[in-house]
Amino acid sequence: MNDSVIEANQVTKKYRSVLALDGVSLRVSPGSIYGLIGDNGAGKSTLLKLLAGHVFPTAGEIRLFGRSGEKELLRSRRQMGVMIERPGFFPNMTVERTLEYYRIQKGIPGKEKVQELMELVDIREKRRERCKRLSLGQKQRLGLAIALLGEPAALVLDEPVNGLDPSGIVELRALLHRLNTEKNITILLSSHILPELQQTATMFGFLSKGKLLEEISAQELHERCADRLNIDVDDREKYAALLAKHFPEESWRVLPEGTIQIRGFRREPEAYSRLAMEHGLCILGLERKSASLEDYYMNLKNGGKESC
Amino acid sequence: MLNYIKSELYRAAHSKELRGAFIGLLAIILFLNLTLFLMKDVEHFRYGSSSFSYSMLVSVPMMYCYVAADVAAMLYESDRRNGTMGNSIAYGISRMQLLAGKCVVCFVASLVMLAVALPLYIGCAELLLHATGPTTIQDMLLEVPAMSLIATGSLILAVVLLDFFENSFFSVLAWLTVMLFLPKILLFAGIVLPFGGDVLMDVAMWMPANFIPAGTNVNMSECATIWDTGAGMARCLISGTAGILVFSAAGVLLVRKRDI
Repeated sequence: MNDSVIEANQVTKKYRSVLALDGVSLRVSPGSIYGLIGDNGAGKSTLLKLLAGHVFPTAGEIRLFGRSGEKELLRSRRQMGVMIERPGFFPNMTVERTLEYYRIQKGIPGKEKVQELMELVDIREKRRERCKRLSLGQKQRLGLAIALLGEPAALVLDEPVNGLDPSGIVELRALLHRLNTEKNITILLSSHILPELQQTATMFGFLSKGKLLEEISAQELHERCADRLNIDVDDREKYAALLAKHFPEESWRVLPEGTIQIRGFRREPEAYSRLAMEHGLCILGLERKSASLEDYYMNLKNGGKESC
Repeated sequence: MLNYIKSELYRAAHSKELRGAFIGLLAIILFLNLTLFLMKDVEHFRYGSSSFSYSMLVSVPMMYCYVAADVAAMLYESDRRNGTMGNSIAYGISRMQLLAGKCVVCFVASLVMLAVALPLYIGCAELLLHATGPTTIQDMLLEVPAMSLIATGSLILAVVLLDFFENSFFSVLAWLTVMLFLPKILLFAGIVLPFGGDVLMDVAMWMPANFIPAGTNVNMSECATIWDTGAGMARCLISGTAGILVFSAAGVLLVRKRDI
């Protein structure tokens, strides 16, 4: 029984001598929002293009809605909405006609769908505007509307917030959440804006140099990137012993530079400094740190895995 | 695929480029015949006849191929670059279905243009100009079936090349090479090569760019066209059919597994 909406098994893609993807395996579960993270050239767009059928894998297998094989994939793609790299449209056609064109192509009955979608992505006032005259953000909205035509069960979006203004980003995030929760649409998206992705995704995949470094759920990420307290004291062995004795439930470690780091600390920071001072230790430094998705990614990319 | 064709027909119907080209074509036809009409009674002006008007098209049958390829270029020149082809593929339409759909749409668009332009051309010539000279309405009308399959083949080639190359300049170059330069090169090679030249010449003489000019002589005193004879017409139809088959097969090979 296969319950993945999107699945890549040991997928490799070579462009002549360039290895864009190297044995990538990935699973996107139904109802999840999967954030794909990676630098430029990491292979994100190539992976999304493979899923969309724009390119063919050199090796490996793609499964969509549990189905594989060329004909089955073609059929499965009809349940998917896709926007990769930049929205595709005819520059001289108006927004409304572009959507009407795709409505006909997808065999969706009822012209009112076009109006509804223009409302949904907030582009209705530009309906008579030629596509080439739209701003980058408006083009993104149009691309999203095209992807949403036909009520897809899954969305594949490459850099959807690219070109959007701050309010546009907030609106898009809200829209994706709404589509995910209300219509149970599974979403796979890539973005360079990691804080944005951190707020949106429920699952993360980290790509680097064509390899998938790690897949991690938002919950796991939260646990791994929990708040940390870095404490520098004049006698760290004594302080370590004090921690073990007085706060045995705390998880701590000594960093290479000698700083004691308490991860996911459960008390107010003052409690830790008080503990030191009450036992005659001198606090040299106390710093509260909270890791972000960016920190986690950078750490992972640089070879670390345990913490942010 | 039917939905794809429908959507493309919708686009073609709303395409400003295509509409502009169509209006331009009709304007040229009108301008040409009106000019001849206005000049026809001028002393020593010999060209105010329907024969001269017809001869302009009858003497260049390859015009059908150029127009058909032009229609394809207008509709699909930027299909890859705009990302619209990617959208259709992402929606689960196979490359083969896209190719076939595009050919159908180009064919229909060309047919509509022909269905309006040709009666206009003949109507203008018949109504406005003197009905004298060697080139007749029959030559003009027989040119259509003679060139229909060849033009369809050239249209398919244009669609295949526009799909294959990302840069449309290379598509145009490749189209000209296959339709015009390669036949001439083969013919020339057939003439100069001491061995195997006959075979090359035979092959070259089945290509429209060679056999059509060789069998066509249209001027103010004579109108000899390749489709005047049964054998000539058959050659046009056979060559056109072969073109359709070869270019369709090339399309399958070149486009079926092509990354975009």
